[in-house]
Formats: sequence, structure tokens, C-alpha cells
Amino acid sequence: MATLLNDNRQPILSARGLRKRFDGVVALDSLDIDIEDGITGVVGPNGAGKTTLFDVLSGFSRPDSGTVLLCGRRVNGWPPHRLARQHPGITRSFQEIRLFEELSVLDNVLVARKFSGGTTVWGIMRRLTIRRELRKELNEVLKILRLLELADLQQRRAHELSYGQRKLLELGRCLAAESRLTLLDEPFAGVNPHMIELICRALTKARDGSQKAFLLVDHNRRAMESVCDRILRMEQGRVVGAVTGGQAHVA
Amino acid sequence: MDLHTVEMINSAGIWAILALSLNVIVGYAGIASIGHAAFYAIGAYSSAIMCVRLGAPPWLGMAVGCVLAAGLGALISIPSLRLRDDYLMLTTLGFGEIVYLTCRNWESLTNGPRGIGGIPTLRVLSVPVTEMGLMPWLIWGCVFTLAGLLWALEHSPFGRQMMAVRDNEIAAMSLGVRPILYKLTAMVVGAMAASFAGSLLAHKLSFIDSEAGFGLSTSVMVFAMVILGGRGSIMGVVAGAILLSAVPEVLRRFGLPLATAAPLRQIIFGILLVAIVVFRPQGLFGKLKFRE
Repeated sequence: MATLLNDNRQPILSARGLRKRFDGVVALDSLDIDIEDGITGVVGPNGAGKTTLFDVLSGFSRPDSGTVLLCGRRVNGWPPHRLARQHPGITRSFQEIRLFEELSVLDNVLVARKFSGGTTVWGIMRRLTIRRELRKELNEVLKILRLLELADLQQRRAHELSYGQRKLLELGRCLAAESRLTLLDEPFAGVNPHMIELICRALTKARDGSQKAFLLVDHNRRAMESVCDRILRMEQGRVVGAVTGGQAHVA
Repeated sequence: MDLHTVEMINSAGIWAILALSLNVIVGYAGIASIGHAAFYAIGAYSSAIMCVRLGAPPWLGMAVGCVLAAGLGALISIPSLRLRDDYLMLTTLGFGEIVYLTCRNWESLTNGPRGIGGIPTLRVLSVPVTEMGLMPWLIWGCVFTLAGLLWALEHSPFGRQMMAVRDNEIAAMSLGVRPILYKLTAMVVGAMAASFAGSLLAHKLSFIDSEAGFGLSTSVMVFAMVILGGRGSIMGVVAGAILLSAVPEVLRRFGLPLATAAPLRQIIFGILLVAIVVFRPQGLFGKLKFRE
């Protein structure tokens, strides 16, 4: 198991012995991982199990065995919506961008906000009151949209956006969700240098300002090295090593 | 206005309630349902049986219909979690047929094709609601009330999350939205409103039988109204309901013999639908344009 930082803080997420196989292909092979505060990168060749790891951690796929602790709490087998909704929650983005295509940019981000009341009958009644939460939520969400240079497009529908803007919007949605840990699957893929810079700035700002931790998978080494606090390397379903520090060179 | 025109206005209103109720299911929650007439039938038969057989007041019949429809709607929303659009359509189609065939064949309860007569006229503050008198006001009052409620739903955070589930269920889950809650709500609300439309129909006609339009053709017609007007658009589906329900009446005004008018009507529906799907897939007033 890779030791990441030397202090004794409890990791945000800690997984032990994760196994997952698909028809004889071992995607995760007794994987151990500790994710601490800050931005953690995961690199590795295709088929190393990075996306499977994301699916398992975010609840979209059940591990065959192993445990996942989120802030010390066992969360194995929780469905994704429960993982995302509970307090130190987990949100994720997807390799293939998944937006609410018919909703406006603003609404896309607002969906990610948690509303008071939960899922009780009373909670639903409260959420039915027309956009009462809006003013409070709006400021928060607009801040994120401005950061990602999407504020001028807030009334556009998601399907009208360009590829890069869609990528940014998906990130914005994750930033708006108040989850402790955010998993980003290839946030830099196919994005131009200016937008990469925007993404990096948004990530560091969220890390420093709102206590969010990130786990990133990407193949863009330069971007990963500039934004990640530490980088882990995965091979054949295991974490095989760690490199600490901003100028990390990926072995 | 003559009786024909008023009848046309009234029946357009009932179609509008049906189309609005299906719009919650198809337009907001994205559940492809072509069994909507089932809920309509449940409302009509609940009112008829409660009032005629048990002597219950009309509001009780309506309430029983709404509760039954809500229960069955909730049941149908469960497969909608697991099934893809095409399979879900088959499921709802089957559900619609089951309810229709039950109405036709459970003769001890429904009288089947012989029908139930003597359904009492509705009364509002002891004023009877007659076809030429209060009926259009009552029906269209209900249309506008329902439209207002749906507008509120559409613009609430709850409605936004419902539409998020429609657009991308997986992304919605990743953000903490639990799909079943929204699909179930949509199904229950849609079923109740359709059942209410059925109750109105029963009291309006005072006689219903299993062939009064509770079969697949009604389900498809309502679905066509939603698609023609524009799924997700309140104004659109009301316009779709008025337009499509007016076609037979307009043909009748031209004085065509029934033997010509009936097939011509089908041809016109077909052409309208193909034209909409080809030239304006979002419907006349709809905004939902995106298709994967």
C-alpha cells in the first residue's frame, strides 16, 4: 500500500482489498488506496482499472470484495444517490459527458445543490415552493459559473454548448455539489489549453476555499503534474506507487 | 352556440386534461407510456360504479378513482426504473390492455359492453352541471387549474430534479437525486389527473361502456397530442389536445359521410404525426429538441 503523506491525519477515503472482475478479466486486484485532502491524481495505462475504481468508489458498481471507508464510515454497497447526498459525500464526473441536455446551464448546476428537507413528505412540499431557495443558491452557483466562464451562457441549454464548455459545465456541477470528495474522470481530455487552465484554477480554488478533495484520472501529464498534490500510479488493478509533490515526474 | 360546438369544447377540455396528465409522465419524467387510457378508465368506472351501484356521492367516486389510479401508477413506475424506453412502452401498452380487457370482461362489475347508465349529473352548489350550461366552465376550469399546478411543478426545484432524471438518470444519481422518487411522483400525479378526467367523462355522458374510448386508440391519441403539441410544454399539449380532438368535428362539418370521414381521419392523424416528427420534432410549441 502506498503511503502518501507522512502526517497522521485520517484519510478522507480509505479502501482496502477492493476486488472486481468482469468475466475473467480482473479489473481491480486487491486494491488498497488512501485518499487524503487535496488533489490526488491517478495515472496508468488503459485497462489499469482506473474507471472501474471510480465506478466502485462512487457506488455505480459493487466490488466483489473489499471495504470502502468514507471519513471513517463504511459505505460499501451504498447506491450512488445515497453516497452523493449524505454529508461527507462523493460526487463524480463521467468520461463520456453526462449533462441534463434539455435543462439550462444554470439549472444543470442547480440540480447538484442539496435542498433542505430531504426526501420526507414535508421536504418535498418545501421543495415544491417555487424556486424559493433560488436567491440563496443562485449566488453560490453564479460564482462557480463565473469561475468557469459560463456565466454568460447560463440560460443556454446544455446541448447548445461546445465540447469544452460541456466539459466545464460537468465540472461546475461537481463543484456545486457540496460533497467532500469529487471524482473526476478525464477532466482534461480533448480540452484546449485555456480551458485546462480554467479547470486547474477552479480545482485549486475549490481545494483551498471550500474544503473539497479531488481524485483525478487523466492522461494529460503536464496538466496532472501542475494541478495534483500527489500522483498515484495504477497498473493491472492495483496502486503500484506514489509520487508526492507538484513537480512530480510520473515514473 | 349550438350543442355540437359546446360538446366539442367540452370533449376538447377532457382531452386537454388527459394530455396534461400524460405530459407529467412523458414530458417531465421521460417515461414513455402508451397505456394512459387505463387510468382514464379507472376514473370513469370508479365514478360510475360508486355512484350507480353504491349510491355514493360523485366526489367519493372521484376520490376512489384517484386512489386506485395512484396505486396502479405507483406500481407501474417500478419497472420504469429498470427498463429501457422500448421495453417500457411494451409494459405500459400491456398494462393499458389489461385494464381495458378487465373493463370489458368483468361483466358482474362493469357490465362490459352493455355499460352502466344513470350516472348522476354533477352538481356545483346544488346547480346541476349540464352540457350547455356549467359543463364547459367546469371542465376548462379544471384544465386551467391543472395547467397552473403543472407550471408550478415545472418551475420548482422538485420539477427540475424530475427533468434531470429524465435527461440523464445516471448523472442525476451521481449528484444525489434518487430516480424512483421522481418517477413515482410523476406516475402518481399523472394517473390521478387522468382518473379525474375519466370521472368527468362518466358524469358528463351519464352512461359509459367498455367501448367508450378506454382502449389503445385513446392511449395513442393522448400520446400523439403530447408529441404534436410538444412534450414538456403546457401550452403545447393543450394546443395538441384541441387540434387533434377537433379533427373529427371539422370533418363532420364538411358533411362527409361517415364511411369516408372515419378513414380520412386516420389518414390526417398519420400525416400530421409524420410531418411533426420530420419537420418539428420538438412539437408545435415544445422546447425539448435534443435527441441522442
